[in-house]
Amino acid sequence: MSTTLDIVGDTGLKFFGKISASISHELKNSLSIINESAGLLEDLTLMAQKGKPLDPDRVEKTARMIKQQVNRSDDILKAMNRFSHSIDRPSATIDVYELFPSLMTLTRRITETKGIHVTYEVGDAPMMLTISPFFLKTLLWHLLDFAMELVGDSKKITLVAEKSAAAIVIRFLNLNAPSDVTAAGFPGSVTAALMNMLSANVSFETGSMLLTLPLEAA
Amino acid sequence: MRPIRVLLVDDELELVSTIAERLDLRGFEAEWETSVDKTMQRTDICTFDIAILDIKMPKISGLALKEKLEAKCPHMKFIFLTGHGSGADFEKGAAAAGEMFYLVKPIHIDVLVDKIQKALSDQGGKV
Repeated sequence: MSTTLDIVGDTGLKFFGKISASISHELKNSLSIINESAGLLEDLTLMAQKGKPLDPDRVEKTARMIKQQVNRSDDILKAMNRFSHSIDRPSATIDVYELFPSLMTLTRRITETKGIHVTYEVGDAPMMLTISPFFLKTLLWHLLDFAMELVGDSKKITLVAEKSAAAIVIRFLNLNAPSDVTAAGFPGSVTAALMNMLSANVSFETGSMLLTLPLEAA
Repeated sequence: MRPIRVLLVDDELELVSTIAERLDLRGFEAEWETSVDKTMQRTDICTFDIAILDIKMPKISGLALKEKLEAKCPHMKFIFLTGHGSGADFEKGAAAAGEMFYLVKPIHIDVLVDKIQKALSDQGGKV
């Protein structure tokens, strides 16, 4: 295996591990809320059995909370399932706009732990791209990780995508891009290997980082 | 005898508020916060006997929050909660509060009550 493939393979595995750990943390939190909500319902039932009137609003609120957490867990598991299957094929045609929410769900815990809120904007029509879905997500994560070091006072990063005849450009907005990115350690061997693998290019403009992906990437 | 005052800090609002409510039903005086900043801004912070802290929170860890609280309120005892079950996290949490006072989510309320009582009877909750 070449050095580039070694780096990409190792990076992909580490990314998979990082996301799996983050997802397990999210699911633990969601399960904990369901656990406490069920416990509270038990508490209220015991109190009712002892003669204290049951408050229907309190019961309804708790049931609603359980449903919300079930939906939350379902969203997380759907994103995890898509992520797991993204490695099945070396190349697939995907909608970039579907990629954004999936990436946010997978990385939300990591970004929020750093106090950074990541959002995205999507257009009306799908934005299709043929690429390795897994390694695109891996590259997007590495760029997001770098972007979090450049985020402005708003502590908010917004992802938007634009399509031209030959490429799709994903912009990371609200950044304080350094004048010398090389001095800031960019791209580094890992990001460079991923960019090379996907025939991608990264550039900087005032306030934003741009990832350019050819419509028919390797 | 005054009720034991418990402060819960976790960024999961529904979790921390429900645990607080369940502790209230068990005779504790439990309050909660979802951010480190709001926790440190409380003027009554040192009126709590024990703080139950999530290890992983936005901006600052529960371990770092423990140090801040301990500096301000030396009497305070601590219990850590975490969704992570990694060996590294366990070692950090156990080192900060004692192995017995590090609980992995989802927790059992009776176990938490037992840990609170043990921590306040000087059996741990601080090293």
